[in-house]
Amino acid sequence: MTGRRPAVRVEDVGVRFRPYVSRKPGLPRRKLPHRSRVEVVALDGVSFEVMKGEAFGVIGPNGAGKSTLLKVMAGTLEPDSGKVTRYGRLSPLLTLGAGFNAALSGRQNILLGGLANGLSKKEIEAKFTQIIEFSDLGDAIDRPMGTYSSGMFARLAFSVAVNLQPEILLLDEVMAVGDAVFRRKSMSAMRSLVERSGTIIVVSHQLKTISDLCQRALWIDSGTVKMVGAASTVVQAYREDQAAREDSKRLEADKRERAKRGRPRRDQQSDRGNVLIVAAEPTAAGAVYGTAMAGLSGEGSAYYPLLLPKRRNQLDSLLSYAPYERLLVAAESGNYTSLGIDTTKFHKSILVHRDPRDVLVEQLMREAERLPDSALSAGLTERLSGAGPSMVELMELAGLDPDITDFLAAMDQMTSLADTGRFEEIRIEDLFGTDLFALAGLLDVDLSGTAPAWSPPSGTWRHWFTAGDVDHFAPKLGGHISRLGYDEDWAVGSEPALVVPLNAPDLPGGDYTADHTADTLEHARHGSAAAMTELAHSLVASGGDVDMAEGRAWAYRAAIQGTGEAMFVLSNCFMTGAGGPPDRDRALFWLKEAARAEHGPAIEALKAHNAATKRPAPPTPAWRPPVPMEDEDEFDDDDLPNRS
Amino acid sequence: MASITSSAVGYLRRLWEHRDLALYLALGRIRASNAATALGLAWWILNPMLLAGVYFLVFGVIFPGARGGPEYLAYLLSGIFPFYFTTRCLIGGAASVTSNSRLVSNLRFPRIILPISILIEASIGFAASMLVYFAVAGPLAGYWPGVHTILLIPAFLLHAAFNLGIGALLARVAVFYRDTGNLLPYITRIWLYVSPVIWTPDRIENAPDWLSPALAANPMAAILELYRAALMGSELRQVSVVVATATAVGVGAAGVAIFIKGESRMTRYL
Repeated sequence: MTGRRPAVRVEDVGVRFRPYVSRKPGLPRRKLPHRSRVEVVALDGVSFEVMKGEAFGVIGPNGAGKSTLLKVMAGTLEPDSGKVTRYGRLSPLLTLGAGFNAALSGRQNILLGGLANGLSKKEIEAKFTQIIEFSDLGDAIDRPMGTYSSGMFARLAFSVAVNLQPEILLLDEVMAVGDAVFRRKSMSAMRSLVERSGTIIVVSHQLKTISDLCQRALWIDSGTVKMVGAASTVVQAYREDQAAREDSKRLEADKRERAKRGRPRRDQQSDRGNVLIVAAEPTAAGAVYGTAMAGLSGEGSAYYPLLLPKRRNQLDSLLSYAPYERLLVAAESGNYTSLGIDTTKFHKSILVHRDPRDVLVEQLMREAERLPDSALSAGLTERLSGAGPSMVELMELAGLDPDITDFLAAMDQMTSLADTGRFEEIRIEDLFGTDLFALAGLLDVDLSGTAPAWSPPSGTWRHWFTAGDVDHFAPKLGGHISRLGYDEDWAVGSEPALVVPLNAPDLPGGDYTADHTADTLEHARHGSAAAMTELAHSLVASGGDVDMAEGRAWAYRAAIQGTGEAMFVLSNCFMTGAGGPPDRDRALFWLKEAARAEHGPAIEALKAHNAATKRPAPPTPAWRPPVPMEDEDEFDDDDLPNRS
Repeated sequence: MASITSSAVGYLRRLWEHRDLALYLALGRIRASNAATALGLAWWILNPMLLAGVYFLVFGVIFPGARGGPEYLAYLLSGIFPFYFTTRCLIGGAASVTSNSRLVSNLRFPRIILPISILIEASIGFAASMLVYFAVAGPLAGYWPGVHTILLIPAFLLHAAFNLGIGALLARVAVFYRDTGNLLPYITRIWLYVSPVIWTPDRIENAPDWLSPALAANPMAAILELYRAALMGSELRQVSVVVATATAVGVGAAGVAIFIKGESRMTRYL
């Protein structure tokens, strides 16, 4: 690639959209949707270069930002930050046939398409025959394009795009056009364009096309660059990643299926319910952790991995109406703090903090990877086999701060988090290598029978620290560690006591009125379903918004313990919208559950409901005022009156 | 991209390079709009004729009265056709960017091409309606083309500038607030009633005191006065010429400038 000149240079490009969304995505809308704007990060700090005489592929899952990236490169979308430089005339036919009008003939559309691409009428006329021949449409060229099959449409569009002889051709998802013959023809047309030192940038889901056609490729996910390099390498890495995702999804589906078939009775398991896992650690370890934890959730379902900070909005919507009962946050405390989750909503919440030593090891490994032939790399290899320089020496080699000041700052934050008492447990955990399974057990998640795609490397990093390292780090971390009851195990080779139970968790944090005795609250906090139900009753009845929301939460907690009365309260909450958005489906669900738990009033209510729904429609009166149609659809932005 | 908006010369040059696109977008729509009809392009004449017929039916046959008769019909048509020209540019202009979202998000070209192509399309319709005017007003009321008809050219140019300005302005607003399209039919309807199209300017004296200044300030009134001078040889006041010119140039320039200023941000709202 040396000596080549760039065709397109993308520097640190970021794009954010602020679309209108319904505040409660996913639930059927019973009333007018509440419209608000939510920021979506489409691209974040994307940088790369495409060279002249190169076919360059862009791959990634749906919604990764591929099309946005192409639009930015084409110059039709101006990025919020960063810079795009283009060298050469662009044919940005991103979506094939963008300028076409289906009511016009193919011939007229060639003119239109060419004009839209910035060519003059004369230039297009010169290429007319060539385009028509390439498209192989024959007499159909004079028929309106509306009569074309989608293959014919795409053939003409592609023919226009490639025959305008652009210096840079941008194509979005077009490789599937036409039959095999046409595909071969278009491939060779694109190759010859590249040979003439033109540039092709193509977005496609057809990985084979990418690795066949392109020299280099870019893998993009969630708006950030995952990998740039030789097309075959990138495609291979992407394939593996997709396969791993597929596996974990299947695992989750299996679990759900099993749970559906042999559903254990609710009242026999006090701590069941959905787990919300927030792997708020934007590192490989965090992602692996989240992946491994997903699908392990027993009866409930897990949500993972929420990476900071761009998914914050998703998290909000999850928290606002999803019934997650248990919360597990894997995050450095700084990240957790910025998440600001209200732990009082959860029956059980645990914060898992990365062990600072884990971070050390990871940093060293990353540095060694970056400098493969260095003394650092050699030293680290030796260290991992139990000999060689100490970790402190390696850190000095790598130019890392041996005084670990940033970890100390993180530990400070964690300590202050512990002081708030918002979590029942804060754990220092080796997210890099240890026992995810043991961790899952904390939440009563049954892992037997699951096989995560990822397994920890053999041996744990704890054995890599020398006695000298411990002497170096221990006094620095000492203050924090002993504060959190973690002082015994800062020794080489010993198994650390991971759990750091905190005293007297203040849960939930509502400001209760005198209506409730301290006793009831105390009992409820200690898991008494009866006390929870009592609290739910009086809080819901109190009518205050905050109180009702608390009441609903208590009702939920008691309901999942199998208390019929609480289920009935919860059902009423969902029916009337007390303490949160109303939801008829869930109201009915909980009503049925309550009836199944043999709660008298619920059985009566269910009977009444059934009778009401089965009753034949009342006889039509002679005349009724016209009833406006109920329109549940969200306002459609495209649904503008047509120009006439 | 910054150069697009910062350099007016560059923009004009690019606009010139894309002039054929504006024309063929308009022609394409004209062909396409009647491609599926049996009468095809004849509708461009038929539409204004039918419109004239409807008004003739209402004001000539159903309510003949004092204001009825061919004289009034000519007055009515000389107002309604230019007014429909504006309506077309308004409603079409407002939708010009949003309805071409594929084009806009895929291709780079000066976006003002889109409202311009709407203006071209509407102008062709307006030209057809002018033929219909003389075909009706000539034999019925004796308003044949004459020397005064030359005024039609400046009247049209000013009117077109005015229409383009409003169309471009609304196009920009509609990109950011799609609600615009829903409001327009009502706004144009009200505008029709406050403009001297159906009523004659002398009846303004009958309007309530608070309304008269508003009616007098309506730029459409000045433009229509130009047209009536051209089409009916009626009196043309100097003040109307000044008002029509000032509003046309002002609204035209402002609308186009505002449109161009928002151009670079449009794609992300489509």
